Amino acid sequence: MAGQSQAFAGMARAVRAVLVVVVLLSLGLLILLGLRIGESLSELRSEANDNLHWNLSQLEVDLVRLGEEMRVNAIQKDGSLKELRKRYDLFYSRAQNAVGGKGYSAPGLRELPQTFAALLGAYLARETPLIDGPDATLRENLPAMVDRLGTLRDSLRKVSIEMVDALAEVGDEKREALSGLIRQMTLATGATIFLLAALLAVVAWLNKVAAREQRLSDQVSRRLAATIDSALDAIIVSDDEGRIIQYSPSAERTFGYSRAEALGRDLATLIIPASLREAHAAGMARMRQTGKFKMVNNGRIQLSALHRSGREFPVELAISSAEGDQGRIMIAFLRDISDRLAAETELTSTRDKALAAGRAKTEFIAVMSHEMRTPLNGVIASLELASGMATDPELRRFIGLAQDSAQLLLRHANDVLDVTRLESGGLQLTTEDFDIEAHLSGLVETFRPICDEKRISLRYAMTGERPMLQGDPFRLGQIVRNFLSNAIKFTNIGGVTVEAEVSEQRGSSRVIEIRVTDTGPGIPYADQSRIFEDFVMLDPSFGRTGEGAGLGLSICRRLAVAMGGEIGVESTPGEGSCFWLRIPFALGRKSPTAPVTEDRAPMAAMDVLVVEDNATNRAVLGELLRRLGQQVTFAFDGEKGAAAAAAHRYDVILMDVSMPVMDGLTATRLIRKSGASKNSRIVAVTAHSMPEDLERIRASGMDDILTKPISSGNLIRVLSGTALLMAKPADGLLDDDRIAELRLALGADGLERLAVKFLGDGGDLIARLSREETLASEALSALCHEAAGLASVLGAAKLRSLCAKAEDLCRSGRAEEARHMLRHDLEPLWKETALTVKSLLQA
Amino acid sequence: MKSFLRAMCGGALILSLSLSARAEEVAAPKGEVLLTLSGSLEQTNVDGTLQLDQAMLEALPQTEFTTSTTWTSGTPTFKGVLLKDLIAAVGAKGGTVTLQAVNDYAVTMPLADVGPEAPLLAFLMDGETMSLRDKGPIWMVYPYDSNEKFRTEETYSRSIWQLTQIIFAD
Repeated sequence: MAGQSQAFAGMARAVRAVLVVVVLLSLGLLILLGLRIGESLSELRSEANDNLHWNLSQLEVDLVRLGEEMRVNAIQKDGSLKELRKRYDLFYSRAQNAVGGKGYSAPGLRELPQTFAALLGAYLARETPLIDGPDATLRENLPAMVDRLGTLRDSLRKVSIEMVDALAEVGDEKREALSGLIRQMTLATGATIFLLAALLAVVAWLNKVAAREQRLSDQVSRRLAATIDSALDAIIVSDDEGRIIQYSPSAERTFGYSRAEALGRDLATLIIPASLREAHAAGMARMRQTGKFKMVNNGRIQLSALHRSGREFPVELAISSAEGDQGRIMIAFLRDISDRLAAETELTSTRDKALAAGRAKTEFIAVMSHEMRTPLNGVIASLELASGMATDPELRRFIGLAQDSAQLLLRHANDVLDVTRLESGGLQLTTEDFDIEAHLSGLVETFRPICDEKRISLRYAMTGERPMLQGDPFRLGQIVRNFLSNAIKFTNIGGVTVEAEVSEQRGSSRVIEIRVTDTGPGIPYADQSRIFEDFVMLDPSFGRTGEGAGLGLSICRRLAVAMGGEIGVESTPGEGSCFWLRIPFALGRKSPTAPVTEDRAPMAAMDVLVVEDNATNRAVLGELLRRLGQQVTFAFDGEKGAAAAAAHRYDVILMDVSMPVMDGLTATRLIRKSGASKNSRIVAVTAHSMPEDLERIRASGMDDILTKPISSGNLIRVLSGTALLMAKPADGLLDDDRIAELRLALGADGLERLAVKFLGDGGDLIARLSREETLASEALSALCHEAAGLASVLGAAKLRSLCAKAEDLCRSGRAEEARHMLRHDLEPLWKETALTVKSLLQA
Repeated sequence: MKSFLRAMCGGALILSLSLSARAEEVAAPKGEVLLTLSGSLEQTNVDGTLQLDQAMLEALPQTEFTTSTTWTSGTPTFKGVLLKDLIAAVGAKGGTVTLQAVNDYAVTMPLADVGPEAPLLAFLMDGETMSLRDKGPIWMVYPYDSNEKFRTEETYSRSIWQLTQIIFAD
């Protein structure tokens, strides 16, 4: 609306300009026409048009009177000729006008005046001598003169009629021209009047528009003033020197100064705390110099402001700048946010308390779950023993039920522990190189027996790049296993497809996408978003079968997030589901085409018995062992395992610790008692590597522990001590067994902490020892003792023996030898040892 | 000698004209009468009129100018007495003056129209007296060339030639 009227006003102004020009032009035209009419009129005024008629008539009169006088004198022979001569003179004088004067000439008469003058001239030339001559001669000639005068009169008459006609013609033309001019003048005057009227209308309209705009502008100003007055934020406008030029009522309330007090004052001294004044002055100076102001037009910022009472309080501030009449002005919007900040602080502390409470709960649950497992293990072990002793089938059935329940409870406890570990960030992801394709295909194969059993198909395909990755293959596998077991569980017709590919390449890392698609019943849309939440079980009957606590997928989600990835599901009810995960991995160091075992010493083929109740673990172990060229036999529980071991001599028995019917510990004790595999190497396979477990495992007669996640590397290490020694002879720098022990005892991260502490403390000690010349022998001895102790922690035998020897020398008064030895050997040996420890850290 | 006489006569006229406070007989003209004034006059010489010959005219203040006219070719120089000088000299009063020519042409004009520079009662054209044929004896002319105001119909119609009589009316 305003834009339209402004466009109209713009147009009207253009029209006005054009009209002004046109009016000026027509006024010019009017003046020109007026001048021409004036000229024309003055021409008419000064013209002797009427003169000619007058002159002709006067000449005629004089000629007639002369003729009369001649005729009178021709008759009266004795009359005086004086009157005749006077008449002739008068005629003569009149005729002279035609000869010499201008009275007979007018524009348009052509040669007529000349003809006229010639007639007269000829007549005068002929008669004048007679008139001036003697009276007698004159009288004698009078009759002839009368005739000649008559002839002249006729000739003159002809010419004069022609002249009058010509003159009338010219007069007509002139009058026509003049009336044309007057017509033009009339038209021009009319046009000018019309244009002036139009101009008047445009000007009037423009005035109206201007008045309306003025009204609007006044309205806007009033509204703006009202807005500023009623704004909740304090509004302060200052010039570029920082002097206040506007100060809103809200500012009065915020800062305590009245408008009258504030106007004209310097911002800095009025409302800026002393601590900020310097920065303010610098900012103002910079703005004046560069025209830029860091805080201007930069959104909201928080600062301290000064109240009249001297109290500093927090404000939120937005500054914008504009060009005013007197140069640049700054408009500051300020809000006292003391209350808000207090509320925020309150909220933060409430939140922190709530979080702390949540953490405490999580810790409590973790501790409880952990603590539950020990008595639960006791229950399970006791039930196993009872099961062995019971002979009544009914009792055995009840014991079996109790064992199943105890196993389920244990799994629940483990799940909860997983969740709490993931929540509290306590989960340690391993970092190792692995071949994604091999890992996945092995994993999928472990599910084939179940699929065969259910008579559904199981397909696996990895397309595109098959990189060597670095990460935690076990945790990745855990997610895929969960997906797969769910898919197989819910699919009764059709099959399950696992597809894997590199979905994104980011420099030296790859995002792996794995999709597990089934042809099961699908998941209702409403449930798709919540199935990754804790304790969600869509099929109640599934929960009742006691297969889980509804934590599987939520653990998967947490694992994926912990690995920096994401998981999700797409499902159409009635058609099936597709669970997917995308996880980024760094590229591994080894080429996937290189066989895993190539850089190791060839391993002798052995007869391996795998005692494992879990089909997945069985399949993983089986696959890994087959790759290592081992002969594998499976047993599904401790009892069956013990029986198999008794019947056949196996080189190595991989024994799951916790199994239904009979656990690994019991089975081991049975095997060690008697049978073909009495002296075989028995390795415990467990995910739980707590120190107390370690003790129980050793006590049962097992030789080694294989901790999950199982990789081919640690599998090789536990399969055969000799194989390990052959591959990597002990160099005495570090004791591998000690390290393995420590890892079992402390966990990987505990070992890492210890190694870091070892490097730090060792570095200090060695540095002090290397300045041995400043030390008394007692002090040196004490230091050597300390260093030897430290070295023995990680089984650094060489370092320990060097330090111990130096200590002995000091004690037996041979400090100089000790110093000599330390100077020579300590530094290089420490460097070597430290390097080995560091490589341990990197592994 | 002749010019001396003329000067003497002029001197007498001026002398007599200077006594204009009362009507008085002025000496009769000696030469041919060129102009006869009548009507409301203070000065008279013959039968209640004032007859003036060339000498008497020449005794009055002389004015001359050169101008073209619509009736002549070239630019003649006219010399004579300004009408206002004549009026002043003869003590004429009243509202109008009527001028009459030999050919019976007459002009009547208000005395107020008599200007300070025109009309001129010329009796010499290019130093010569003017015969009847040359629009003599007296031709009342205006300096037509000097100003546009003298080139109007009215001025032309008042330019009376062969002038012999002037009658002042109240």
